[in-house]
Amino acid sequence: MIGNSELKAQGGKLIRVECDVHERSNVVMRLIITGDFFLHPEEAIEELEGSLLMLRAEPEILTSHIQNFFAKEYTLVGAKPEDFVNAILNAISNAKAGKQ
Amino acid sequence: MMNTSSKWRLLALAKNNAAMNMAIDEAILINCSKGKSPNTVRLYEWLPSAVSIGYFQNPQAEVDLEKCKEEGVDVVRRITGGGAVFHDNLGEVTYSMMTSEEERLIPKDILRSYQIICGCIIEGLLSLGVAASFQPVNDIVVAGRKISGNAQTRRLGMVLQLGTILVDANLEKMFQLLKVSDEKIRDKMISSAEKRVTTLNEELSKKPSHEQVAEAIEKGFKKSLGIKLAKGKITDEEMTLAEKLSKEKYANNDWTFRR
Repeated sequence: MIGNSELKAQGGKLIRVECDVHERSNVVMRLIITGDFFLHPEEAIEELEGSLLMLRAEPEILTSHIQNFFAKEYTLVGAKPEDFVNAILNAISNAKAGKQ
Repeated sequence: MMNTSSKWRLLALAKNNAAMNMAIDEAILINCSKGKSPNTVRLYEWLPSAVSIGYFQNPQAEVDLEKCKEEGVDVVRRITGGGAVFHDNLGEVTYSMMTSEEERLIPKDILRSYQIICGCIIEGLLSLGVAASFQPVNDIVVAGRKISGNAQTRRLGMVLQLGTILVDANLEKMFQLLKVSDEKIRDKMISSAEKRVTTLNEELSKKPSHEQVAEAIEKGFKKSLGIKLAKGKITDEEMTLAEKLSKEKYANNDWTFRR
């Protein structure tokens, strides 16, 4: 089940998420985050995407995972961790609802 | 102390294609991180005109790739975040600044450092007679209208910031090359961008030459940071590395289409 989301962060930057959730197992199979935000170091985005794979696509699980991720030594500019949480949960919810 | 001297190198205004422009910045960053190159301010133009996209962007979502191909406009992914930018050969000067994170003139805090480095551009614009100000996070505006966008990365213990100074804008072409979310509102977007964006041509009622703009930016860095900026050249070692990075990374679809 594929889902997309687009979120304008309060800091003014755009976050787009595309995800694929396995229908039977409810597991995140693929997740890509794009946009015009700044994250330092930049490679952390791949780490975040990779770390979400194979997790159960449940809001509580994903929220705490993303919050823990950003608690590390990363600097976000133009967006906040909550914006990433919301964008990712929206994409997951759209995937489950069959809205691309 | 390495790379924290007040003597910096200036690389005078030069034209390159998009891949090479990005590759030269990265080559300098790498060499500077090894202590082989001094802190550097570089001024450049894009030939042919190009669209650069931010590190995290999806080119298919942001850029009309077919139109770019038709128009002979390069498309390149930057190593910095931020948005898609149309670098018009006829109306834009780009600067980049590479320095050690240990450089005392540049704050460790990223938001503060944007303000300090953008301060050099604001000082430069002032010398042209344009009163601009910093608009967090990464813009420079004149009476609320954007005249310069900036983007920064930190890697290898270095700070790389690059930014554009709009000399003249072809918004119609820009909106042909960049994707708009809804085709029906393309005209509306152009007129709204006209209100949000300004240029040196508009502010001065006369288009300054790109050389004049480059000189002003040079002055701005010298005055604002209190540094000596000595005209220099790209070293052979930097050029060899830049050519390799251009070919293997920036002109390579694996990099451009990686997200």
